[in-house]
Amino acid sequence: MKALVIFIIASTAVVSSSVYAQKDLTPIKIAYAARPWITS
Amino acid sequence: MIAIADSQGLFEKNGLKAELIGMRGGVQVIQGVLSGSADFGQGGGAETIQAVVSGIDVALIAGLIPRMHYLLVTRPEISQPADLAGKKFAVASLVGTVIIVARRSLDALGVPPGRVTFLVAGPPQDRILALASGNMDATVVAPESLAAVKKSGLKVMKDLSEIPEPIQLTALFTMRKTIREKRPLTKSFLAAIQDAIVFYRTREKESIEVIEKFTGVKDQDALKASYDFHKKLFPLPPYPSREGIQTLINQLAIDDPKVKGAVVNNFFDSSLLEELRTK
Repeated sequence: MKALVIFIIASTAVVSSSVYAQKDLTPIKIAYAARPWITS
Repeated sequence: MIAIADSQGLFEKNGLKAELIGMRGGVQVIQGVLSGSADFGQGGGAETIQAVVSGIDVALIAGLIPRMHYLLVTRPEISQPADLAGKKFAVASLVGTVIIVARRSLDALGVPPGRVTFLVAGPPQDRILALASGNMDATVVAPESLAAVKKSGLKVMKDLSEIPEPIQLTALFTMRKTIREKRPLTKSFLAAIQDAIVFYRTREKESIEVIEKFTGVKDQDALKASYDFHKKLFPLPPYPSREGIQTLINQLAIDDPKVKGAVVNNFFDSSLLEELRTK
């Protein structure tokens, strides 16, 4: 049962991802500081 | 949050194709946004405030963590905050987020910051080494460094996120021109960030995997500690904290006369998040 649930969730994620990829997407660029996560 | 949004397709969900550009520090992120190399920045609130008072037309559009997401670490023989008076406090540099956190933590614990000596020791691994070797006595580090702190036999004196006073250390920002001319795009960006916060709060395993990939930290205990630490801190909606910005202004004004008397409202624009909330 647990495996089935995981499979369904995983399948849904794949479908959702491909749906998003088919949209017209607007490109954006995001700069981020490594500092808060890595060096501080 | 941008790593979560990127890895989980949340930018695409909101009509965006995002390119993430990693930079060394908050100043470089501001420069990237100013030069047009990037549309949005995720970085330090302190650097953003200093940019605004320097005449750069940038604004905070979301506040990610309104607390000090750091740990106060000391040598083991230091048993209480009062013992820090007269001691050497390791910081990354004499400007920027780490020394601000160091000063605020001392203040909050009843130790006047002027009673300690701040010494530059570089990035967290070097600061931890400075304490372990006995050359310095205290420092602040992010929770990702917890495993290294324990391995070095050092002590976590205080989880600084427990100090209730807000401080807007980490934020998202953009040029005000972008807010004016690309408002729907900016709102889509913030919608993706809100989706990422929801994901982070509810999907622990996947979020830890993203943090591992994004930071390069492999220690699972450190990653779990980081997740738990940050989970309680991300606000939803992620409005910039007025009080948190004021705290930063007060701290920055100690060293930077340009910041003295600065007005909080000049540093943020929460109207986009408000529009998303009432949509």
